[in-house]
Amino acid sequence: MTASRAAASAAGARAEIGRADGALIHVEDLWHTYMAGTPFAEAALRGVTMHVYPGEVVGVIGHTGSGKSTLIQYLNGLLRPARGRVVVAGHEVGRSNAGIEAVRRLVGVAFQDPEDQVFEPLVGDDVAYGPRQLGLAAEELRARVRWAMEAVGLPFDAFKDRYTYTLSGGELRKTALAGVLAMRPQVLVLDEPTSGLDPATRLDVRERLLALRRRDGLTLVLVSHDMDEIAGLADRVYVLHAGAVVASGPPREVFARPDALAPYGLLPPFPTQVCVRLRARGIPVRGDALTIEEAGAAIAAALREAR
Amino acid sequence: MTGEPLIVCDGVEYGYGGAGDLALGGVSLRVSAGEHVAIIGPNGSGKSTLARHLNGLLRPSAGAVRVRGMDTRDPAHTRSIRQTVGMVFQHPDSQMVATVVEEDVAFGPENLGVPRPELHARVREALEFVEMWDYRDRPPHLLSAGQKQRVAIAAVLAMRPACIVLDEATSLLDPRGRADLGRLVAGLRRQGTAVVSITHLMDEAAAADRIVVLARGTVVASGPPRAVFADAGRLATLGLDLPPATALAFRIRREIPDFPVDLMSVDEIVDAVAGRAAS
Repeated sequence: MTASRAAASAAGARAEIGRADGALIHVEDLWHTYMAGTPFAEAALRGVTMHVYPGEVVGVIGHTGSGKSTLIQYLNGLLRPARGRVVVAGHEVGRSNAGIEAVRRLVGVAFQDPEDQVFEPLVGDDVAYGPRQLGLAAEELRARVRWAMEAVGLPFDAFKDRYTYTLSGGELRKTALAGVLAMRPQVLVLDEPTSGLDPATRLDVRERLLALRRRDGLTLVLVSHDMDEIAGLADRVYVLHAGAVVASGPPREVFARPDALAPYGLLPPFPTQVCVRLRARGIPVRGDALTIEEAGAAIAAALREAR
Repeated sequence: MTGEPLIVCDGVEYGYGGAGDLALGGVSLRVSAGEHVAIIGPNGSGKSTLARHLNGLLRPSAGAVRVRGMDTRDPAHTRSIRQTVGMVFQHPDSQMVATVVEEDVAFGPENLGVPRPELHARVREALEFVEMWDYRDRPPHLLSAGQKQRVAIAAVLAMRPACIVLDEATSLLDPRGRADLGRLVAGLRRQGTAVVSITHLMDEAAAADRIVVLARGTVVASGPPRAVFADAGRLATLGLDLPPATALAFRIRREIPDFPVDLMSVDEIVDAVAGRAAS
């Protein structure tokens, strides 16, 4: 990162701290070093500041190694800040265990690999595993499991007694997701929620996530390297590079800015790429198209105009 | 085996037991030396089951798979079939066997009894090919998913296979990891190694010589990518996408009826639009 860019990013971070009132999650100047004190020591986070407001969908994008996965482990207290602050709904995630239970209940994390999260033989038991630890009454437990499974598109009666090893990749992903939802978190953090799924299942999962937000007011933090997915889902994005936030804002703004992605080897969504290239060739199309529909309409209009 | 393709699947059937449908219901497929074949299909279409037949990890319950003429049902051939056809899976962690990258890559050829000096040369060549030689002393668990997949490929390459099967090997990688792997695949083809890639990513499939579309355990379409993607309606009924460039081309055609739809990359679509705007 150049000095000027670093300075701009630091200034942006300071500005953001100033207007973070009402945020559900505050991450302020967070640093993390893996294997500190060994030859493999590597700074994974370098002063990250981000905020998540109630009911919004926040996208976090960046390459492997940009610090995304480290960051989300802080959001529900799996990691505790040694430098910087993480505050979730007023609970300071710190060295002490005070409030950590509440934080874990408020923020559910679905990691990328469902095979790491699904461990019970039967789907229903797996989804019930978390809420059972909360000591709920049997009826309440059953109701929650039913709700969570239906919310992700696993009909309760058809799937509760299915063996998890017979599930397809998409069903397994949904089971892991239901297990997190059954804890009734206020914030759902999803690491690459649709990678490895076929296109139809991907679309289904996306629509269900949006429905959860719409119907249940769930706040979503979406970690993804699928720019088209982020473009379609997120209200705001943070671009992470080498452990620092290098750009943030609404996806339409961030993706259209030439300096927000390209210097970090990231590509905007496909429709944006095409429109930016066409503009460079002097064809008057909008540069901020995010979807095939928007880009297609703009290109068709430009072609009609040219005739 | 003269004239026979590298891999021949002949009416392959396979069921996982139980009363359900067959996972594969009579699949016939050929892979020639040096060819890049992409296999696409919805979840549960039998793609991974088919992939596991290509090097004898699974054996057909009816029909046959022959690798260089060797029938995979004959256990006597298992070893040389696995040397001929290497597999790389979706989860890099499940493929790592050693605690250091270099040893991980040496594991396969060492088991084959490759003598020391050659073993070292092979490991180095394979790790250099995937650009991971500098990481040879690292513990694999400290690598990124993309780096792990490159090591997994090196471990297969060190066996000097004639064909590499990538079973959704890029699906957990970020775009840079995918692009790296895409370049690796192109390099493999240049050196004459056949590649069979199973993928959900249509722009990845677009890079293949041939696409085979699987649905409910049978081959429903097969041909060069441009021809397969031209049948957008059929792919849609299977729940499959088009590559984004093709999808955008179809969207433009809705308003500009003579706009071409056999486009598969940013470059192609930009050229097609710019060419028309100028004419």
